[in-house]
Amino acid sequence: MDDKKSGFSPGSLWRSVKARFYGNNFLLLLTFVLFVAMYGVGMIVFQDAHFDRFQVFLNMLMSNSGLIVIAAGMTMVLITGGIDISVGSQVALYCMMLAYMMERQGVNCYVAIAVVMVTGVVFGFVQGWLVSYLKIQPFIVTLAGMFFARGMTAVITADTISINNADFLGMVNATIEFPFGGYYNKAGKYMAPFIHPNVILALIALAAVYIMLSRTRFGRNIYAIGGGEQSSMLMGLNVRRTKLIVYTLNGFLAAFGGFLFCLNTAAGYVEQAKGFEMQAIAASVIGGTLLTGGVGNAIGSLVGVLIQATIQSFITAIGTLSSWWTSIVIAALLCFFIVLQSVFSYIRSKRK
Amino acid sequence: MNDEDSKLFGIPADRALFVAGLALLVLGVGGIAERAVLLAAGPVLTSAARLAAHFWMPLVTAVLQLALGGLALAFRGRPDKIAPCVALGFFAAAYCLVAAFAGVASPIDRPMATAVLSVITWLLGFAATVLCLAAAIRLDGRLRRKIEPRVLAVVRHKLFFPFVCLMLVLLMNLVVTPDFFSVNITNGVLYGRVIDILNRSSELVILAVGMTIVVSCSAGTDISVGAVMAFSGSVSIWALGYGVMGVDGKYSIFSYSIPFFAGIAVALLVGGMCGLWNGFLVSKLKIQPMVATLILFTGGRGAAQLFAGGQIDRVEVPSYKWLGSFLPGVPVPTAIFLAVAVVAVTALALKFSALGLNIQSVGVNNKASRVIGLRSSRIVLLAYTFCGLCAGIAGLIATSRISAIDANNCGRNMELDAILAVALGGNSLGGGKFSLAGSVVGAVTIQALSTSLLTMRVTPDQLPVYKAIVVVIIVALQSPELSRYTRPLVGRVRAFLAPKARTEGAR
Repeated sequence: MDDKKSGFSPGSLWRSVKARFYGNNFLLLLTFVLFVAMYGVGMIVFQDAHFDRFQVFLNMLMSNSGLIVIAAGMTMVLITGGIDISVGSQVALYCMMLAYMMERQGVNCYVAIAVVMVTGVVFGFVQGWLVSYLKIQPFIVTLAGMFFARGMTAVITADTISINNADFLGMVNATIEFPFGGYYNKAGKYMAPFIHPNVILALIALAAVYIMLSRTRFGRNIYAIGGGEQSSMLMGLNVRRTKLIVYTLNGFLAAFGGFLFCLNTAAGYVEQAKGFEMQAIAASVIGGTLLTGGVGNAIGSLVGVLIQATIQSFITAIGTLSSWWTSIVIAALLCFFIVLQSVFSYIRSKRK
Repeated sequence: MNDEDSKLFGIPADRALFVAGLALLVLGVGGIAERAVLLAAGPVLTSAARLAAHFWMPLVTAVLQLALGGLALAFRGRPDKIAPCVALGFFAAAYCLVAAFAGVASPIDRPMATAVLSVITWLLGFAATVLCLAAAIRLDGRLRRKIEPRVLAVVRHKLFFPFVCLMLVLLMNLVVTPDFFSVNITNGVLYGRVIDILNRSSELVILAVGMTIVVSCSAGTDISVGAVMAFSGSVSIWALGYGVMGVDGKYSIFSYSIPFFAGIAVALLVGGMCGLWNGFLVSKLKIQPMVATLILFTGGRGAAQLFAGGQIDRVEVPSYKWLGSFLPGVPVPTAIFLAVAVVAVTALALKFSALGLNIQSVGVNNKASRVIGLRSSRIVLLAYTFCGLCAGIAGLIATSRISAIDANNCGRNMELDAILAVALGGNSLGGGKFSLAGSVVGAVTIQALSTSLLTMRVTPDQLPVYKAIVVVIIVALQSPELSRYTRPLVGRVRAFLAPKARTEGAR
């Protein structure tokens, strides 16, 4: 658009590219390019694992639907300059609650889901209140939340409960088929690519967070607070209330993500989703969110999740590599992005 | 008498004295009645020791409370006669403490409910005595000038709150397991709950020392220490067993391939290198500490498994157990020595060099410190390296305890406990001034809490719930913002007590 107004010329193009280059959008772009490149390499190298099939990509979305929502929520919290490390334990708690209510108490599936959502909101509200009104460090508050949620999961029951509720399994197994992108299996039967509804729900939640962050006044307030809490307070923003709402919303998203996660596992057990919070933080950081706050993008977190999922698929596809390589590769990737971010912020501070 | 001066928590001291005296009278009468009932019931008091602990001491306590309450009521409004009240109050408070200690500590089988009830009444009595005492001191100007500054110095000391937390945890233990403090020697080594707590908390103490320094100078936390523990332990065992491991197909080491001390050095080196890497990212590349350490947090355990070959490698050489259990012929667990050594060396280094001051200075204001000529980034680098070194030591102890490397569980969640210890010790996670002793007390408190909850038959899985509740309470109490919300409540209590006092004074 800009280029058209000022008349198209190589110079203006270069300038606009350069402007993007130093901006945070560039990091996002780079992440996206990296993802596409990785996936492309995967298509060529791992043909045996059928990376070229559309279904493999959809599988990645399906198995990470919970993480997508939680990473979006995490991005939101990180933008305020806070952090929430309780989400992994919360997911375990919500899965356990769903499983326990439906299987041991015979609660209706939808009632159970509603109870979980309300619990998430309350959990987020309490954490948010402690963070924003009592001014306790978010790390400590959510650390306590992490302990609490994980412990409560064990208090409910130490057993593994798998969910057999008909309504719930209906949701788990519902498929939506795509009219394109299918392939013929060995028997010559046409296999249409499909997704479970949890992907749709996750993408809707992600889109909602994205729109809220980038298109609403509340979203801009969040960025302002992350950029400078003191200045936003002087500007007249109600910092405490905004933070409280952000954490409450994050609690809700954690519950929602937990529900989607449960749609994948259809079970509840104490050790579930361990380390999930760090996956979410890693996804956000890879997606260009700065932990200092003020910078970030919900779409970036999606790309971050997808990159992690791609690495996971690679490791599985290679087969001979052990599972711990996943964490090593993700750490290396994290390192790459973190150093890159630091270089960019260094360049930016130099230019100022 | 100046009205402003004679107030206690905003309540007129005279009024407080009256309330406390009345409470003590009630408690004293109740205590005597209760002992009478107990004596009538009889059979519990079989031995002389029990008779002393469960009859005479509470009885004397009750009588003292009666006397103090009576005195307080009698001398109300006569500040010149308050001195005997004060003297008796001191005596009563001290006696209450000893009596309650003895009463609770002596082994006697009784239901939980009565134990809790007795502790509550004891706490009430103690509080009333202290209130009585405080009011009396307030009323007597001479005493006030002498005593108050000292009391305030203790209460406002940085370590007061962490110590009170620790005491509360230990007290709770006394109620539930009366033989909590007993220590005996079995097979030439010390056994007992207290020793156990100290022993098991040693890794946490070591980590907390490193974490305190890191938090102080960089206003951030090192979340990689748990993973670094696993990594350094794993590499150390890999080095010790290089070439001799896996011969029997069981992944056990029966003899070292390098000397044991070289293995220890390897662990320390690896820990230090990890710390150096974190420090490089934080100090040179100016990356936020949590993000920078997130890298090793994510990858450290994977790397540990890489060196362990995905197995739980066992070490079957006796000397490997030394660090985690006992040195031959020494009754005290080695880990305690190590923890004490780390704390002592660190404290001395900070005390007898400018290092401690420099670290705090960098933590308070990084830029200003650089401007006045401190090499901020080098200090931060050093702090992270030291933290990594501490993690290496802790990793050695942890692997030595089970004589094996379990890369998945070694030091799991330890980083969180270490950060918690720093916070419980009254240190701000925002950097700046720090108290090493506070962190150590915090670490011991956490371990004491865990151990005591486990003895109360809480399963390890459920443990975090209680930990979380304790953390929230402690941190909320430390939050200065809390007073803003409690002030109206306190004001209402004052308003409830004060007007009556005014009519009292007018009479």
